[in-house]
Amino acid sequence: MLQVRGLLSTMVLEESKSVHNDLISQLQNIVGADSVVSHPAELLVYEYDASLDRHLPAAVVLPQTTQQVVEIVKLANRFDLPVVPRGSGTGLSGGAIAIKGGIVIVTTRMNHILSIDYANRRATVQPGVINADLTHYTEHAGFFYAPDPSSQKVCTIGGNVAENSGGPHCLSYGATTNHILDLELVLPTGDVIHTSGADGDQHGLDLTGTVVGSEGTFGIATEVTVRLTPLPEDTQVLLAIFRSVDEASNTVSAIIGAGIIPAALEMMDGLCCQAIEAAYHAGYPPDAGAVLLVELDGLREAVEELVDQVSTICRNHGAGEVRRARSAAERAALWAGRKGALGALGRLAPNYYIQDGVVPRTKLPETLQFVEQVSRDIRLPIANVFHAGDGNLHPNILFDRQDPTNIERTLRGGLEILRFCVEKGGVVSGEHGIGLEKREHIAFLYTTEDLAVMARLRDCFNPRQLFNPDKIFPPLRGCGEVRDQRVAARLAKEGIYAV
Amino acid sequence: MPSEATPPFDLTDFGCPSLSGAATEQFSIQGVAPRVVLLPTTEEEVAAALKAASARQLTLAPYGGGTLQEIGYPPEVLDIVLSTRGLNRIITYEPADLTISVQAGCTLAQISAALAAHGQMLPFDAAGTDRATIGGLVAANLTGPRRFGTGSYRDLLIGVVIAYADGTVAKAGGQVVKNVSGYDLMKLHLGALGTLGVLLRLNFKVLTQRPVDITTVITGPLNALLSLAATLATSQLSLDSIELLGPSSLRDEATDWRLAERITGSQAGAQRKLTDLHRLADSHGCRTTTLGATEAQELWQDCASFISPGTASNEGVLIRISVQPSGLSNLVSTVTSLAHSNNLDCSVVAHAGDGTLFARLAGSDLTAAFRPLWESLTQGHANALILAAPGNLKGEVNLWGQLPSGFDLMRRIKAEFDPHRLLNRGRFIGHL
Repeated sequence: MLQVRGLLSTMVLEESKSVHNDLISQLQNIVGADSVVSHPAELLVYEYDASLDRHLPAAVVLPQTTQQVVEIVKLANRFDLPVVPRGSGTGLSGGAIAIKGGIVIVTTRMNHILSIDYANRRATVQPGVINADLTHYTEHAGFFYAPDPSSQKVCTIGGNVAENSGGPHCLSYGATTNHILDLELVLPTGDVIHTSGADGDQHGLDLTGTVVGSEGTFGIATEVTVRLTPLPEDTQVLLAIFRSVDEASNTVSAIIGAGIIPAALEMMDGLCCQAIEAAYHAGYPPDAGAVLLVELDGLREAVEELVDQVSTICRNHGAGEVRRARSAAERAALWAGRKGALGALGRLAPNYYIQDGVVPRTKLPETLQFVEQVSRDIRLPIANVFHAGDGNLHPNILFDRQDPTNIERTLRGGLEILRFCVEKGGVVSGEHGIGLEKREHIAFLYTTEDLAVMARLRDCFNPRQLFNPDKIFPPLRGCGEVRDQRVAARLAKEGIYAV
Repeated sequence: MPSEATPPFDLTDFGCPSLSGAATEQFSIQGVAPRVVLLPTTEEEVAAALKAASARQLTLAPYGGGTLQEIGYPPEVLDIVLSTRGLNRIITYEPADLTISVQAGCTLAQISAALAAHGQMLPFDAAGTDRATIGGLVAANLTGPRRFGTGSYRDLLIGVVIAYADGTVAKAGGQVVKNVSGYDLMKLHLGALGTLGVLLRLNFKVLTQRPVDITTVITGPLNALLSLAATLATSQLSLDSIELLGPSSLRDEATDWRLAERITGSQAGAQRKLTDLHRLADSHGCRTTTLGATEAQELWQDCASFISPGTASNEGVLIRISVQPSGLSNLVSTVTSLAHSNNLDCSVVAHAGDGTLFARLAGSDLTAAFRPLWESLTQGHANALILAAPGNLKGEVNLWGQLPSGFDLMRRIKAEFDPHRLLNRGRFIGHL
C-alpha cells in the first residue's frame, strides 16, 4: 500500500513536474520564497508526526496571516490538492500526516498573542502559539490556560483545537472544547467565518463546539479565542504509593466514587516509576507497584480538607505511604516526572506504542488487570502512565522495532486493549484523536450508520474532502485486506519511529 | 390557526399511539395545532414515525413538556407533533462513575430525584422542572445562573442518540467523561431546537452535591454592583452564580438593583468564600445579606422563571443579549434607556459573570414601541435574540437579530440532515 502511495506521489511529482513547479511558484507568490518548503530532503521533516505513519507532502507552506491561508486554500482548490493543517507535529494519531500528499499548512509562524483581556477572562491568539507560552504570559496577572497536554511545551493551541486535546488537569477543568470561545475559521472553500463571534454565546448552531476536535477536516483555525482561568489560590500535590496497580486503581474508583474530583489524578505503574526515576530523579519510588499523583487546588481551607480526605482514602485502600510535596519545587519535580514519562520509557525499550482508550472509572481495576493479561499474552512489557481520574488509559507497549515478531504482537495487544475498553462501555480515544492510527478502531465503537452521519457533517464543511482526507473514517476495504497485517508489513519494512 | 393543507394520511401508518381531532389542541405550538399527535413509547417507534412522516413529506415537531415552545418562530406548517414524553426511562445510572444515561422524555425533576438519592445532581436551572424534559432543555440550550460556575448542558453532555428526519438512528459520544472518538455531534444538536433531528437518549456527566449551598444578596448602587460582579467573576472564589437582578424583576418585588450569589463547597471552603464576599462587598460600599434556604430556593426559581419564555406574559417580550462581561454595564443602560424612551416597562436579570442579559418588556402599544428598540439594539449587538413575543410581533421582526457569519454553513447542515425541512419548519434562526 505504501509502495503504491509512494509511486503515486512520485508520479505526481515527476510526470507533472511543470504543474508542481507552477504550484510552488504560486505558493511563493502568496507567502514568499522563504515560507515554502518543496525540496524533497527538507520535506522529510514534515512527513511524520508523533504517531507511527508517515507520508511526504508535495509542498509545505508556512503562512503568517489569515489572508495568506485563504489564498493557499483557494490555490489548493484550483489544483485539486489535499490540504493538511499542522501545528508542531506532536499529534499521536497521525492527524498532521499528508497521507494523500498535497499541501501542508504549518501554523508555527502564526504565533502571535493578539489580545489579552483579563476583565473578560479571554485571550485571542494565532493558532501557532505554544500552549504553555499562553500560561507563562498570563500567570503574572493571576490567570492560566487550563488544558495542559503533556506536550504543552511544544504543541500549538491550533493543534489542540483540532484534536480537542486533553491533559492531566482536564479532570476538573475540562478539555480544550470547554475553553474555546470563538474561532476564526478558514473553510475548505476558502471562505472565512467566526464560529461564535466576539460576544460569546452561540447564535444559531454551536459551530465552535462542532469544529473543536474535528481533526482538521472542517477547516483551519486562523485565530482562536480562549477562556483564561484564574489561578487557584492554593495547590497541593500528593504522591500515594501502592504495592500493586490493583490497589491504586481501586483507590481511583474510591476517590471519584466519594464525589471528589481532584484537579488531576494520575497513575503510574511500577515500570513507569522506574523509568521516570532513572531519567529525572523526581522522587518516584522505583520499587512501588504503582503510584497515584493527586493534585488538589482551590481555596486554602478547601484544599486542606481535600488533602486529608484523599490521604485517608489512599491509606484505606492500601497505600503504604502518602507523601505531600512540601514546596513548589517538589511539586514541579513530580510533574516534570509525570509529563516526561513517555520520554523516560526510552530507557526500558527502543520503542513504545501508546494507546488512548477510555473506560468508565469503575471499570479501571478490571481493565488494568486485562492490560496485564495482554502483556503476558503478547510477551511484551506494558507500562501504564495515565489520566486515571478520567478513566483515560495510556498503556505503552514496549517493543523493539528491529524484531519483526514484536510488531505483530504489539499491534495485536493494542487492538485487544481497545476492544476491551469498548466492551466495558468505553471509547477508543480520550484525547489523542482518531487520525490515521485509529480509523479502523473507530468502527468498534460506532456503527456504519453512526459514521455515515459524521461523514455527512464533514461533507457540509468539506464537500470535496480536500481538507485532511482519509482521516478519522475507516478506509474502504478491498480484496479482504486486513489493515493490521498491512500496517505490520509496512512497519516491518519501514521501521517505526521512536516517538 | 389551521395548517396548510397536505394530503390525508392514515394514522395507523405511524405504528404508535396517537391523538387527533380536538385532543391535538393541547399540543399547539404558538397557536398552531398539529393534525395529529404521536405518542411513541420506544425509540424504535420514534424512528418508524419519522420514517413514515418523511416518506409522506409531513412536517413534524418534537415536543417534550412544552415549557419552551415559545422559542423561535411559529411553525410554518405543522402536521405532526411527536411527543417524547413516552421515552421516560433512565437507561443507566452508575453513581460511582458520575454518569447517567437517560431517554429524552425524562423530566428534569425525575432525573434530579434519581441523582439526589445518591447525593448527585445536574446543575441545570429551568422553570417547570416537573414538565420540562431533558431533550427539550438541551434542544433549547437556555442556560441559567449556574452556568457561570458549574457549567451547563454544553459542558456536561457526553453522548447522544439521535433519530434523524429520515428515521436513521445514530449515536455519537459515549458514556465516559473524556472522549475524542469521532465528531462532537452533541454540540451540533445543542440549541438546534430539534431542527436537525429528534434527541432520543442523552448521556451526562453528573456532579456531586456540595455539603453547603448558600445564597447571598448584595445591594448597593448599580455601578458598584457591576464593578463588584467583575471582581468576583475574575476572583479565585469560584462562585456558582453571580446574578444581577433588576428592580421589580422577581416575585419579591424588590425595588433595588441586587447581585445574588450562589456559594457552594465544603463547610470550610464555603465559609471562606462567604467571608471574602462580605469583605469585597463592603469595599464596594455594598451590603450583603445571606438568605434562608426557602428564600434562596424561591429566588433561584424566580430567576429561572424570568429567563424562561414559557412563563412570559402573553403580552410581553423576552429578549436575551450576550456581550462580553465588561460590556454589561453599557448594555444595561442601553436597554433600560431605550425601553424608557419607547414608553416600555422593562425589567432585567443578567448572568453577570457571563455577560448574558435577559430583559422583559411590556407596554400598552408593545408592537409599535418594540420595533425601534429592537432595531437599535440589534445594530449594536450581534447576539441579540427574542425568546418570546406576541404572535403579531414575531411576524414582523427577526427573532435572531443578526445572522452570524457561519449562517451559510448552518443552512448547508440543515439541508444535509433535513433536506425537505420537515423538522420544526421555519422555527430556527433565519427561518431554517
